[in-house]
Amino acid sequence: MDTSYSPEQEAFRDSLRRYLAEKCDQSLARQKITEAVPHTTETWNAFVEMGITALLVPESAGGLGMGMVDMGVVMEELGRRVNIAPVLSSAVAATYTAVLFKQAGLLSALAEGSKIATVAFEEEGLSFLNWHQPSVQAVKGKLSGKKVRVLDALAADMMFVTTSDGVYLVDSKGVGIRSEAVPMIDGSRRMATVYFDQASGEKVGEVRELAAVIDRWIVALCADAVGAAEMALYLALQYAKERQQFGVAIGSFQAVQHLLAEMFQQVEMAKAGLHYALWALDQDKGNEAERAEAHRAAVMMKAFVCEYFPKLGAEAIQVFGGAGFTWEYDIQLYYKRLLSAELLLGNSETWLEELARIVI
Amino acid sequence: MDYRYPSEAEKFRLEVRHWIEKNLTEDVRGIHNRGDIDQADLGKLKAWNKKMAESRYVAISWPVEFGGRNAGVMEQVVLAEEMHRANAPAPLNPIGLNNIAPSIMAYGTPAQKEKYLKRMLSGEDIWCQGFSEPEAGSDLASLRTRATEEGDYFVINGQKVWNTLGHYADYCELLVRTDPTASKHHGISCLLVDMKTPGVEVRPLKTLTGACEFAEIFFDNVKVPESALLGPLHQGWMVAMNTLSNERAGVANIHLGLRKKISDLIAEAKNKTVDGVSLSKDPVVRQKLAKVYLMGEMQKALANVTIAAAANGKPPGAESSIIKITWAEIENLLAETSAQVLGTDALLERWGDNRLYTRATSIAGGTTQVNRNIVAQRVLGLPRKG
Repeated sequence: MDTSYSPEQEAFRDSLRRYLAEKCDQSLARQKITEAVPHTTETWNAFVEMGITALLVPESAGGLGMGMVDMGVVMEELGRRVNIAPVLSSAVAATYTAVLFKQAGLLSALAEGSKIATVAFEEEGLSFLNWHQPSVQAVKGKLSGKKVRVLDALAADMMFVTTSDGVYLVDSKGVGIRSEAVPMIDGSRRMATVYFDQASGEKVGEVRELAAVIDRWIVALCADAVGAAEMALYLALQYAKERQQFGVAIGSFQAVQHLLAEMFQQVEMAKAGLHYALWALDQDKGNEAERAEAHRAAVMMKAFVCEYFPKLGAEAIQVFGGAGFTWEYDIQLYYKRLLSAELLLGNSETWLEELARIVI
Repeated sequence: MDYRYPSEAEKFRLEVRHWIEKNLTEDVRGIHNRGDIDQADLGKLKAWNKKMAESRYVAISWPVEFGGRNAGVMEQVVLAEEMHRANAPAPLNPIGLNNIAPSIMAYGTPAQKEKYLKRMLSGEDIWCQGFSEPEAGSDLASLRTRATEEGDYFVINGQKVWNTLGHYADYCELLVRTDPTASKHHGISCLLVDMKTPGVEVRPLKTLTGACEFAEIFFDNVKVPESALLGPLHQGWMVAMNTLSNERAGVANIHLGLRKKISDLIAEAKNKTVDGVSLSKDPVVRQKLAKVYLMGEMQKALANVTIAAAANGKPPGAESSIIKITWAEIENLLAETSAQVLGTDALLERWGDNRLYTRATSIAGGTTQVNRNIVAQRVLGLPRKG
């Protein structure tokens, strides 16, 4: 039994971490957030160069044929720098959907970074666990209706859309599609409402098959959250060691120490659960038992992030005191990243109910 | 990453499972060996312990020469899993096997090893530890029980408390101050004391649950021979710390016990009907049960990090420092959940007792607060109070 990343995975982490620290740390994210502008092509090209967009693409389709454990390394690092590039939506969710539905053409475009894609599956008035009952209509290849909370819809060239007639692949810049940005408190993630009015699409598969995509999607989101949480703890820890009050570092006060020890506890537990979930997803080759175990692990991980990370972010801000409530200090970026990790793709009640369906 | 168990461990699992099926009888299965054990049960437990010892299943991590199998951590985990699966009582000497024996093996004379280890393993001798004192709890090194050297003897005076199994014990691993002039951690020695020695008085300590799980031990001019000394004179702290750091496969036992209780609570909720509907259909109950189930599984994930490190010959990582804290928190969550799910029934029998017992989880073996101080200062590198 081995619960750690391999030396190769750690080496990959080191190079990605170095790149992010030097070229696009949280100060770049802060600038993009403040100006509400998209990620830069330079960053995206660097990610393509590093193989991030090709990671989940099978070798037969021109990719690297790697797995979720490898992707976990990437997501943890992106979370540490509140990165705004559409990796979660395109390189994880849409890419795995394309793998599932054998979209070879799109896969090679995704792998080489020439296209960005996303998946649109949430609807207004549709509870998260009923995602497989969409109301967007597809009649003779023409889509009509509305999708909400579509991640990176404005950055995407292509979009998988769930409809009452199955999953369709559409050109998101095509006729009959309009995406409206929906600003939210975490500016480091981008989402939109997407309107379809007789938009042309091509059916690629059945809606329920997306269950395997959602499991990978939520675990990748959790990996990002674990990276963000780890950085939030690190920033709070540094501050507690430097900030002096009453003539001593505030980190010498037990009350502050216990806050930090508790945050550390949540981070370590989350890492343990995350790594198991990533591994379980890679063991899922489609048979029922593997699928069920991967799903159970994914559901637990997301429920844990929902239950504990908002509080962890809040405690990090608490350590900073007044400084934590300012726009100037970076800790606010991490708090917001953790709040969106909590609420995107189903909240605590959603995933605890799903867990109840599995174990009760 | 690979969470599968090695094939040798899985092979060992089949062997253990087969052995338990053949040897565990219904009258022994599920005997609760915490707190008050009646004489009839104690007899059965001793017989079961002896049977396990004869087949070398009591302390498989021990060297073969002392009755173990020199087994690795994965085999230890597998054995723990199979014992829990069959609801088989654990060996009688948890403190002796896990905490005292490693010190005897490391520091004992050949005569001490010969005299104590085999009978500890078979359950013929029960052992307790005499560490804590009324004025030395979390601050253990400030202990004051004295032993003075008089000729070939040590003469012990003082009082110990929180001695798990103390009222059943035949022997005690005792920490005493032998050099009062030395600094706190120095000048402590470790003695192996026969509890039948004149001057040793044991009073069962009734806990708030009403059971006697611990004892207090009083020493009034207790004379023990020089040969009772374990390890070097005045270096008992080092000997004792060796004891405390030998608990790595125990993290599996912790989550196995916790998760068994959680699945039992879920089963009770499914069987209980309120207003004609199964309790497990109630949306609030479902949220509560799912949450505690989640946390039990997370405790397992955390334990696996420590277990895997041990299996790969790596030192324990940062996660090992918090495993006790998280376990205590989840035990508390379970106790609250049992009340929320079962209502008044959680005042009764098993769940009532469990709720009370849970108070000990964040206290025994280092309070949560002391452990948080340790994490903050030793793991996170925060300064001691200014």
